Order: sequence, then structure tokens, then C-alpha cells
Amino acid sequence: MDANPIIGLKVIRATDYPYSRWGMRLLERLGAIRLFFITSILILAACILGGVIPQGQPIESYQEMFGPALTGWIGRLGLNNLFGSFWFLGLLALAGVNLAACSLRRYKALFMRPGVFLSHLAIMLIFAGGMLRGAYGQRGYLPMEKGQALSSFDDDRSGKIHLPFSVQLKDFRLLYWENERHALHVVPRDSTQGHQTAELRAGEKLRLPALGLEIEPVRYYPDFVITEAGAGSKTDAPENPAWELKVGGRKDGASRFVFANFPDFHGPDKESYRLVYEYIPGRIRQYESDIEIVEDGQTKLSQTIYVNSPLKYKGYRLYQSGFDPKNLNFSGIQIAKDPGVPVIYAGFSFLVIGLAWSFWGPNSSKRR
Amino acid sequence: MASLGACAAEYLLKSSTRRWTTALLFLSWVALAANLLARWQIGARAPLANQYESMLFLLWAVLGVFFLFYSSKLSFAGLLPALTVFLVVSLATASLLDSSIQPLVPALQSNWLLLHVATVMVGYGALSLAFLAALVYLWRFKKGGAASQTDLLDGLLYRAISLGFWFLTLGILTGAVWANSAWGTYWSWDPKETWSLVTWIFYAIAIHLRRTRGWRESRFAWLAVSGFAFVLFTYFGVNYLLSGLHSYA
Repeated sequence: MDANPIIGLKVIRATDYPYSRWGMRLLERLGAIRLFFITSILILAACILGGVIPQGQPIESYQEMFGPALTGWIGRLGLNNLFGSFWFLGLLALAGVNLAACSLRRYKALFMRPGVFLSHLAIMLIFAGGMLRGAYGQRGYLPMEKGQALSSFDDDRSGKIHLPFSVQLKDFRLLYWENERHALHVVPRDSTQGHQTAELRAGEKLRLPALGLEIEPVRYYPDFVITEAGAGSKTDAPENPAWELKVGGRKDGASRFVFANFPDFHGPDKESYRLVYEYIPGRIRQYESDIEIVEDGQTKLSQTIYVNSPLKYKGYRLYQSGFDPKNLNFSGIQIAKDPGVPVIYAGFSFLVIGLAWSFWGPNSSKRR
Repeated sequence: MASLGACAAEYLLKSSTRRWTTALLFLSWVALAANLLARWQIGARAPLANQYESMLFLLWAVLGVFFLFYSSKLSFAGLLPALTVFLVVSLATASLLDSSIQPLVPALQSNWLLLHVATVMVGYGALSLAFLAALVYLWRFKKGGAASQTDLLDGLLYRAISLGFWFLTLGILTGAVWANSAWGTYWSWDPKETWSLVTWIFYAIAIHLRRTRGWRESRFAWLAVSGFAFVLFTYFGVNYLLSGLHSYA
């Protein structure tokens, strides 16, 4: 055995084990620190490329960004889906083999420095967890309407997956830090007079004695549209917010409309003031779904899920993922099952402990 | 004030001035902590929810790591002016950001916010200090110098990178655990995740080069300077140039 002059590790050489020279030579090659540097630099370069080139975009967007010549290369090298490409996965596999061979080759020395051994083991565990996820993981999306029940989902890799239970969306709610607000600015055309602002609420009359005005908010239209039946709202989402107002003092007594998206629309009148409506969106605090898990006709679990608080049942996890501002009966729910997670988490723990041991533990390298 | 003191101390080469500068830096550290605590109380949440708050915490972490490794001998190595200029430039940059205290968006409402962002920022803080030590090393001692001072700076460089690497690892892992509890996947190759990994791999290579190939002093200092470019891009560049799951950061 030789001793590494810098770190003092005893390294098993092929010549130390003449009865298995070929195997040891292979181990030596695969576990060489030189291979670690080569694979790490290649993975680093690949990650930089994958971090700069947007991933998973349609081909047209690459042509727009990089031009036709570079787009051809991006397609040929799989740089548009770099982290799922065979060559990148091959690089990761090579890094895993290098770590395993390095640990085997130096196992005696590594036991003398358990921090390094634990860190290397941790990376291998993380790779193993990733492989388990790739082989057995399931992941999909449940687009649900209130009252709807689903018992299957589409997985990107495995196709349709049937669940051993059904998921029912009982209710969906949007919660706000602050609700949406509607401000009406009454701006006199005579610029010497200051403007006044009031909040619009249906049914609450606004009195502005300084301008001799009385304004009655009649109805709010979140997504204003004119149909044959008259004014209406296309959806519940505030796409084109508008208010119907009755303004006291108008000769015709008719209603008038103000639009947040068109603040310069003031109607045909030449009044001494302008009405400018400002829509102030609410600040969303949380969105949550009431979920029921039904199995064999019986409700097994009822739970409210929200962002950062999933539901767990039979190895599956259901995550509050999204909502549709135009349809508040809709809730987007991610469903995932990943048997690799415990292995990954073991790897995470070992990595943190191993590195700490390596840097600051007994026989550490803090003076190196 | 600390910055002026540090520059004056360097110019006048008076140890008493350096002591005052260090005391002023300590006061800055306390003031930053008070500011962060006040924001915590006003916002009723950890002050780590946007770039402004994370930058304040980063500066607090840089100073914290400096005092952790503090030795009176270090102040003679020219680190004080570099550190104070770094703090002033960073504070000036932070002042351009939105400093209002806003309630948390749903994705950030988790105890993992504190653990994840704080560990990453302490990691960045230690790596920033390593960068400053490397700059000072390359500026003053590249062509040699008193062995005691070069050893001191080289040692600080390695200790800061070790600490930074460990906290960066912890930050990436806590982020992965949080992502798994929020989105059902611990790794999505989101630009922030990818660039954090790039930074992590770079420092892993640097540590291996030092420990197995003997890259020390100037060569290791150059690695620390290069690595800091990845830290900067991961922290700032990704937020402004690339969109992803961390776009609220």
C-alpha cells in the first residue's frame, strides 16, 4: 500500500492483491481522484448549460432565442431536456460509480476518517433515492371541480395510473390578507379644486357635498361584457372590472359605467368632473381545498389541504398546487408517490453529519 | 463610519484605530440584528421573505462569521478595509431594493423559510468572507510575505470555505425537504436549484483540490474568487435573469 503524501490516506494498489489484480486495477481506475475531477467538471459544465438554456420549452421558442443553427445543436445534444438526457444521467451514474469505487478502494483509510466515508455514502444514497424515484415514482395532476371525484391520474412516464381510492373535492376557498378594493376618484375638471377618493361598495351611497354629488354604486361586474341581454360579467375573475353607478343630478337619471382598464372612458357628458375607477386587487393569504378520501364506498379521511400542508394516504401525497382565478370552483392538486424519499432523506442526514465530522470532528482537516 | 475607520486605520497603520474600527463593526452587527428583529416583530414573520431582507441577513452573517473567526492578528492582514467596503457597497445595493414589509405569499408560509433561507445566507456570508480574504491575499501576499500572515489568511480562507460549504449544503438540503413538502418533489431543476448545485459542485471540487492535490494559498485564493462569481450569480443573477419557482425571492 502507498500513502497519499498530502492527506496520508492509505490506498489499496493492484500490486497489493496479486490474486485479483485485474479487478483491483479496474477499481483503481474507477475510483481515481482524477476521474472525480473529470466527472465533476463535466457535471458542472452541464449544469451551467442547463441553467442558462431554458428547459422543456417548445422548439419555436429556442429558434426565437438562439436562431436556427444553434437550435439544431440544442436538439441534437438534448440540451432542451438536458437533465433527463441519457448522457447527463450517464455522467451522474459515472460519478456514483467513481464514489463507490473510491470508497471501496480506500475503505480502510476511510474508516479512519468516517466523516469522508459518511459524506461519500450520503451522495451514493441520494443517487440511489433518485434511481428509486425514477423507477417507481408516480406523479400527476388532479384538475378538480367542487363536488368532483377522481380515482386516476396521468403520469408523464407511466401513463394512466389508477388509485386504490378516490379523491373528492368537497370545497375550495381563497383566503385574503386584504380583500380586493374599489376606489372611485372624483376629479374636477377645474384643476384648482382637489380630487376626492371614496371606496365603492354595492348599495352604499357616496355623498360628496363639496362637488354637490351623490353617487350610488349599483352593481359590480368583475369581467364586464355587453351581450344581447345587456351588461353582464363573462367570468368571476377581475379581467375587466367595471361598476354601474347612479350619479345624482344627471338629467336623464340613467346609469353610467366606469372601467378600471379604461380610466379615460367617461361617457358622452361634459360634466364638471371626471370619475376614475381604480381596482385594487386583494392580497392572497392562502388557498385551500377540503378533500375526502373514499375507499370501498367509505370515507376514510377528510382533510383540508393548503400550500405547504399536504394530505398523506397510502404512500400518496396530495398537494394544493393551484387555482383558476376565472373559476373559483376549480382546484389544482398535485399527487405524488415517491418510495425514494426515505433513502434520499437518509442521504441528506448523512451528508450533513459527514461533512461536519470531516471539517470539525476528531481527525478532521480543519488545519489543512 | 466603520468603513472610514478601516480605511484610515489601514492608512495610518495604527492598531488603536483598528480596534475602534472593529468595535464599530461590532456595533454595525448589533444594529443589523436589531433591525432584523424589529422587522420580525412588525411583520410577525421571519425577515427573510424578499431580496432586501435576505441581503440584510447576509450582511449580518458576513459580520457574524468574521467575528466567529476573529483574531486581533487578522486585522493586520488588511481584511478590515475590504470587509467594510463590501458592507457599504452591499448596503447601498440593498437600499435600491423594495424595503416594505409585506405579508407572506402562500408558498413561503412555512417554518422551513427560516431554516432554508437562514442557512443559505450564512453559507453565502462565509463564502463572501472567504472571497474577501482571497482578494486581500492575492493583492498583498501573492508574491510572498510574512509567513505568519499568509498562513493566517490561508487558514481563514479554508475555514470560511468549509463553514460556507457546510451551510450551503444544509441550505440546499433544507430547500429540497421544503420543496418536497410543498410541491411533492425535492428537486425540479429550477434555475435557482441548478445554480445552487453549480456553486456547491464548484466548492466541492475546490475543497478536493486542496485536500488531495495540495492547492493552497494563491491557487486556493483564486478558487475562492472564482467560486464567489457563482455565489453572486446564484443569489442575484438567477433572480433577475431567469424565472422559476424562486421568482418571489
